[in-house]
Amino acid sequence: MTPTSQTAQIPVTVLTGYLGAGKTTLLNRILSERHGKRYAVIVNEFGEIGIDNDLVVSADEEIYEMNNGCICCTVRGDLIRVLSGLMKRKDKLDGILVETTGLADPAPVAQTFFADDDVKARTRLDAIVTVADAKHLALRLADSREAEEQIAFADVILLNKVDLVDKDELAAVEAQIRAINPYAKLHRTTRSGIDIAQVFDRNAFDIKRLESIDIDQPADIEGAGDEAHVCGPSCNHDHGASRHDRAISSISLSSPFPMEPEKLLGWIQQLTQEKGQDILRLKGIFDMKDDPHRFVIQGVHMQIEADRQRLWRPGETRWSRLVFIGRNLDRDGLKAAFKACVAD
Amino acid sequence: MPRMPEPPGGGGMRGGAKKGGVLPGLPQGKLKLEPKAGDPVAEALGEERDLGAPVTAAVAVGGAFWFAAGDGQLWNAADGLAAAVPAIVHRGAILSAVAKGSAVLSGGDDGRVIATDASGPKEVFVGPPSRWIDHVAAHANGTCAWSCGKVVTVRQDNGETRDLTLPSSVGGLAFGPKSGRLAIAHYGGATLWDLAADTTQVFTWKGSHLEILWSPDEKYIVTAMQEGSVHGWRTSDGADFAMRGYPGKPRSLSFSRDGLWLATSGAFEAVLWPFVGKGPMGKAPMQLARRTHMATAVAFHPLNAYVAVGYQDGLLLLVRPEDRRELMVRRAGKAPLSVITWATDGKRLAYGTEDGIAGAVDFSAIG
Repeated sequence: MTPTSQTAQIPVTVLTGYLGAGKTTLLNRILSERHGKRYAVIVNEFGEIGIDNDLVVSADEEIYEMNNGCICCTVRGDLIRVLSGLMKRKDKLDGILVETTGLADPAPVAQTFFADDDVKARTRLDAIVTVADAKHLALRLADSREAEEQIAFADVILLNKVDLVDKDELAAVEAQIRAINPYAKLHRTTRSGIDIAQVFDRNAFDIKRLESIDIDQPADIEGAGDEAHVCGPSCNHDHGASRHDRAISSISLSSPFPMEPEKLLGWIQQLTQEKGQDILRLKGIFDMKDDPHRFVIQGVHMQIEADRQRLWRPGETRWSRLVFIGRNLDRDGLKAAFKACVAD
Repeated sequence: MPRMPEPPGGGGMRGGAKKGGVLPGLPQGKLKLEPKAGDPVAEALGEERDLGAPVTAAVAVGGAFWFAAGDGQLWNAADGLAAAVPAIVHRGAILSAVAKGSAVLSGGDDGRVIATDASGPKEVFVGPPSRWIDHVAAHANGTCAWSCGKVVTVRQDNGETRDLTLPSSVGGLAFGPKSGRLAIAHYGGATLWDLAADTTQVFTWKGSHLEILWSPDEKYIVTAMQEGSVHGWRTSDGADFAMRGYPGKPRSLSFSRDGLWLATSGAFEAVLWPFVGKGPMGKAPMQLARRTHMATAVAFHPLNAYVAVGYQDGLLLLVRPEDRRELMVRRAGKAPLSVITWATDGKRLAYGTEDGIAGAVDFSAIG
């Protein structure tokens, strides 16, 4: 252990969303509300924020290819620079919020937290929060790769401006979101109104704290009101037909039987090496053969973290679940490969 | 992985120099370097003080040290650290500080460039809101420079300024000690700005270049890279070489006075590359003072052949490459040793840590 790793890592929340979705409204609320916390904010689109604040840092988005042989390893140079600089300050921060532009690709942002030693030692990526406009998301998803990626990468989605759509439109847009990203926590909001506790300290990238990957439970949709149906990959109605080719989709695999660790890890390693560019995110919790511990995994493109976690509790149902979000996912192939990793 | 034109013969770091190494051209160190055992010299010959914020720079001005900190304070330790009184110079952290004549030139995350001397701070430049001054540099002729994101501003002694916009944010700035040309590290390479002719020359190498340093004779510029390597260019013809294999970021670079050795951090030892003859191509580096923690800062003595090496656990050693002798200057502490600066006469050494400890050691009694 290095001496620095003993100091607590500062959580970093990444805020994405298309222009006009309500990102800046949320940001201004976080900066102006009295919540007793100190958050530094890194913005790539300065000028929209109405608040002059020492804790607002403006930086141009700079995507760097890491010259390390990893073909999809791009990082955000501006974040490395600013995060390292913030660590030199005396005042302790409760968190850092990174506002990306409407056209930003979330992958380099997330990869920065895997790839840079200084960033890794002093900060941790807490969650990717995406603000989406309920009225216009369908259009954005149809014509913009970035809008789709922002939904795909999200751990928390604020489906904003829900007052501007009717019940059917809302159901349709939620179905589209769920087809891309089945596990993000979805909140319906107007004027980005949300308790900030729902935005910060999500620990979405912390495999030690990955408790469950909820994809079908109604509880997954907050503020659902009278909604009876909750969309997931398992529902059989149309999830929005107008999306372009090579659209992002998700696949959820599960098994009630223990897995063969070597086979499973070998497969995931090979898969992420070969198809890492198409796999945007993956998350898994596994019941491994002859192991009383849960085994957890999460990844962004080719960057994978995996570890044994806590013991299965007495009486807890032991199971395995693996969710991929990506492009060109070969459903049948993935299903078959997963099944082949079940222990005899 | 793309093949890089590294020195022929695979001059990577594995293996390294087997023997004690030879230091052609360097005067023998006068300091009596004792083996590892014994108390660190800082306890007998130095003083430490907790500045309350990460130490971001130590600057030698004349015979005095100034310490810059993450709370925007600059400490004038001319009468020792115990007697030092801080001046609030920046509103946020001081990100970079260098000596400029009898003053300290500093840049901060408040977007300001400040020159501070014994009479107090004076504002040199105020940048746009919410932008930082990441780097500052100064030359003996009175010219100074700073970078704010992608824009480098040079200010001549008469107050005249000029800007240059680089393709990306600037990773480091350094004036050529003789010519006064400004070397600028950035993404994709380095740019040499000849201020007299107002021309620029770009040296390219893929990747993110951070620190930048000239060899004392200006034959080479070297950069520390994000990707765990050090890159060098011969300024006369642009021939370049990759010094690779670092497990960490080699953030700290220091040339020996004669320019024959380049010391670097970023490994579990100090890595010294030979710049004898045609440069480090095809030559193995010397690896000194291996520890279980990574070297985080290196600084060659300004006159003699020793190098001060700071580590991630706060340890500070003085090492003589010639016979690999080590002298413990400071014991390991709680946080990485991030800053090492020698006084120009080489008699005193200043250091600082990420948890706010500033230290100064006076070697004149044993030197």
